[in-house]
Amino acid sequence: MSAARALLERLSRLAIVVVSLATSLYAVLAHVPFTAVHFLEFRHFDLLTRFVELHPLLVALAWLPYVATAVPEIRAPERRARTLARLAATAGLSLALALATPLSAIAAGFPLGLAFLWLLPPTLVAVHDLRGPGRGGDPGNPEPPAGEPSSSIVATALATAVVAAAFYAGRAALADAPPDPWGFAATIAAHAIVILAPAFLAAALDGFGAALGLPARARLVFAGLPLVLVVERGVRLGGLASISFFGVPAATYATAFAIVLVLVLVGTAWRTAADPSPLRRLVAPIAPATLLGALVSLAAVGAVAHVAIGEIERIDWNDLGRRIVVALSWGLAFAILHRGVALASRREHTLLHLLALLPLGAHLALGAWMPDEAARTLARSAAADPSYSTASALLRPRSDSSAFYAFLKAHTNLPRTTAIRSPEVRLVAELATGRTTPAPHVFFVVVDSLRQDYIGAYEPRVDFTPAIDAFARDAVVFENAFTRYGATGLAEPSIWTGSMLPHLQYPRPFGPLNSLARLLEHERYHAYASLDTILAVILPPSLAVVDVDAARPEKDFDACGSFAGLEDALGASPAAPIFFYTQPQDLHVSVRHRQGDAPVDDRAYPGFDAAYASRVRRIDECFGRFVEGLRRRGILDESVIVLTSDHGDSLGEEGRWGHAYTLAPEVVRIPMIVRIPPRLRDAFAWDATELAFSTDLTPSLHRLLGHGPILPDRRFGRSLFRSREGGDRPRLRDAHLLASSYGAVWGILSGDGRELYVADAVAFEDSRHDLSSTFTGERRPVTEAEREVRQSRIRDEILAIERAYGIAAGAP
Amino acid sequence: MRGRAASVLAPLLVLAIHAVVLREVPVDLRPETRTARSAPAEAELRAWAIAKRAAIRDRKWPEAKELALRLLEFSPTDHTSLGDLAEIERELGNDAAESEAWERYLKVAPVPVHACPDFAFSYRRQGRMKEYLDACERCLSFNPKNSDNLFCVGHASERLGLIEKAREAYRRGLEVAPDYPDLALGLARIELRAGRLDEAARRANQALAIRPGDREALELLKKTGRAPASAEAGR
Repeated sequence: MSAARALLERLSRLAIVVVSLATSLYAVLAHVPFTAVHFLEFRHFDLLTRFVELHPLLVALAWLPYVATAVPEIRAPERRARTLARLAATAGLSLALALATPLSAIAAGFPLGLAFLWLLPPTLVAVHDLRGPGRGGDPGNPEPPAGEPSSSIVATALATAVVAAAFYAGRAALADAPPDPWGFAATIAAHAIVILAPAFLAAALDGFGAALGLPARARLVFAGLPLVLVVERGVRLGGLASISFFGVPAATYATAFAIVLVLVLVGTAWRTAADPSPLRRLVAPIAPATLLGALVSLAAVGAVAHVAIGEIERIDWNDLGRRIVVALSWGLAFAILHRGVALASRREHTLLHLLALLPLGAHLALGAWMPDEAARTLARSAAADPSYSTASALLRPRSDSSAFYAFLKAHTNLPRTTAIRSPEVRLVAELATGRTTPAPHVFFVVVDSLRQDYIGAYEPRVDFTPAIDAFARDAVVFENAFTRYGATGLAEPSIWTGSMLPHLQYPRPFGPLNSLARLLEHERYHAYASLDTILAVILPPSLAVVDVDAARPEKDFDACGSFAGLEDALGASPAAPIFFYTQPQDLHVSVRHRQGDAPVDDRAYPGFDAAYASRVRRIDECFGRFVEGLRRRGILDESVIVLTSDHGDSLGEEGRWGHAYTLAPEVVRIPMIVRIPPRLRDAFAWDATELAFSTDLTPSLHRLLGHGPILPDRRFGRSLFRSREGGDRPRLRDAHLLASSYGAVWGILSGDGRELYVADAVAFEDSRHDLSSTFTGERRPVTEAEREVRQSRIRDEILAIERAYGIAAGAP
Repeated sequence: MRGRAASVLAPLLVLAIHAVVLREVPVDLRPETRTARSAPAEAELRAWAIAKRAAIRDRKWPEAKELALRLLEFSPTDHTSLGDLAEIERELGNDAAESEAWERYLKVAPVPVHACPDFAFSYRRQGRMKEYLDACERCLSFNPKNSDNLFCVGHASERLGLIEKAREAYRRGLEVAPDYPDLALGLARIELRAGRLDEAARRANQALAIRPGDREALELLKKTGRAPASAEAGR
């Protein structure tokens, strides 16, 4: 086989495996309830939308080189029938699947079945490749291939660890977070231990295969087995867990995915590479043969990893994207280095195996003797070093909370088929009638991802929100405000219901849960809103809403545009009372990224993230004009105006960006500024320092409109404004449940908002944050006693909410 | 053959050593979990708390302080230890540290009023009168009818020259607690400053009736040129 043909065959397999596995993963997204809604149904991601539109074409293009390489076989009469049958079973099946089950309608069928089905074509290709004649050996000749000393595999792993640790530590140094000597030693040790593990397994299997005298083909399959284990763990724990795909189906899928991926690699290596060493043969399709080629390849891998991490870190789904890049860079570096190391080390060096114990010894020694200051420096460095954070996460001891985490997984993102027997959320016994005074106008400005500490009313260092600060001086600034849900998926609906929700996206019809919509209909409000995709689902059809952003896609909803849209929609003399809800996307991490993560003005924002702060400033200007517009219309003092956010956002804290499925302090804290009409101020009392939740806004509006008191129900928020005539209950419980919208991550906020406990069933760890000192809090140790108490509380609260909604025990 | 066996056994042996060691000797280099690893058991924490209480009882302030700080390191929101720490700092003469401890206490204590009026007085001793008044007002907000808190607000206002505010606080205090001599004395000082000598004398005599022989009351009476209402009170 010529080198050119070998290259073409490798590329053809690469194209097939990329398109087939991507399609399979798309089907998984359609299977998982929350990704089906937010990733696919709401079409928030252009890349996915384009993938769906072009899918049949992509499939055809992916198979074209494969079909082209089969032309000589088709021309040979004796192989024609068999070749055509193979092409029909692979390329034909893929095209038929693409045309018969278009991705745009995949959610309506059986997406998980399709996810498995799409693994079939590349499997058939790999099996065919493996059954055929290998490039380096005749299948008729079972002569076992020459092995290679296992010490060379160990040496490659050590070299890979040093290269990876040095490269990523250097990258952290560029980000002004270099590890000190202690930290660098820890980095090398962690990389070495993690990369050595599969290498040892590969070495042992290779040696075993050689000892048994297995033929080349079996030896090659043996060499791929450790990779199956690595890929399976990565896919299941790193990828599927982060989108709430758990249990036996997820484990089965991850195993199948890993087997197919490795099988294609093994098949391609068998067909196109000729090295006598199985491991060298396995990496041959991706490893250059010359020293210069190796150096250039290593540099290229580093450069691509550097750029890729920089590109995705701000929009990463927690750490998933970075970890994939890191894992790929480790694998490629190993492949590149292995060829050179193996050629240079042809003898077995048993002592080298003992040398491999050194990183383990160093790891233990660092655990015992590393100074606390060095540990703090390392933690800062780890935030900028995804490679070390990946390696250290793999080595980290897990708490023995597997049963509890399994419980959280089972009660997160409930299946869409979950029966909700008591879907009604009624915050008050009965909505009052016979109002004698006009209802106030109501304006909800819920700025997606707005952080409390980027508003002057909360943070004195902020000088770029003069309009909001002026507004706040005549309003109530709730200093201790939190969202109940990390991320928009459940945060926005919970504002409308005024309650905690079943962890399900979304109960349909959603109308019975929507107490704010019910209130608006009862009070005959004239409703205006930026109708985003979630509102389109949760608003009852009976509520007539004027969409002020009808002409724009949701990702382009910005505060200035929505305020202008409202102004246009209201006209000169709108009917009263007015209700307006907008959730501008100016600050959302995906929008900032789409706009290049650059500031939108030339001002300096020392101490703040300029891209974010400049957008807050722009919102502030438009918010100021919006409030001024209400004043000009003469309705400012007849309006309830709420400025808040559905959740906060991470701006690089401990390496975090965005909000994904985390419950970090900066994500759960929100601004909450409420201005009520002067005529209502005498009738109500409030305490701006008390704990306030996003779910308190709708109950508060009920009270301000004269309804209530709010019924005692642990799901419900409470009114932040207490009638001076009495009837409002104080918030009694000191522990409040918080949840991620998208992941099995739940929390308890206690101590009047001073302590946040987070149980993370995705990362398999619990954490405790002291929020009393700084905005982003300080991590505190988690004692066993506290773990027991908090986990028990989280469990009780989740079950109580499900019971209240009539979700049968064990339903999930 | 020996070489082949080594190729299989050596990596397996090292892999097994890694698996066993990492399982049996878990290492976590994150700062907060390093603290967790060395965190004391519940029983040890209880022992520290008992020892701290004994040290306070025996007035062994440095020892008590060390124990309180040790407890707070692991439970930063433990209001009992924060209250103790404030008291210890006062005994050690560290007024600023006492104020700081009280401020932390106020953030976490379920019944913050227990810090009053000591926490306000800690500012007074430092001469930080604005903070003193602010602290008194916070105490008053916890318990608006408490005569100590009313005296506190009156006294701080008087020191800051906020005469009307001071008069109002003393007056309200006397309504709540007519037999509180310091409130009467405060009012007497204010009336004297305003030149209302009869009223000043009446308030000084009121204080003398409650606390006969009070030197400040007698001094005030002398300044008004009036005699004590009774010889017994003026003894």
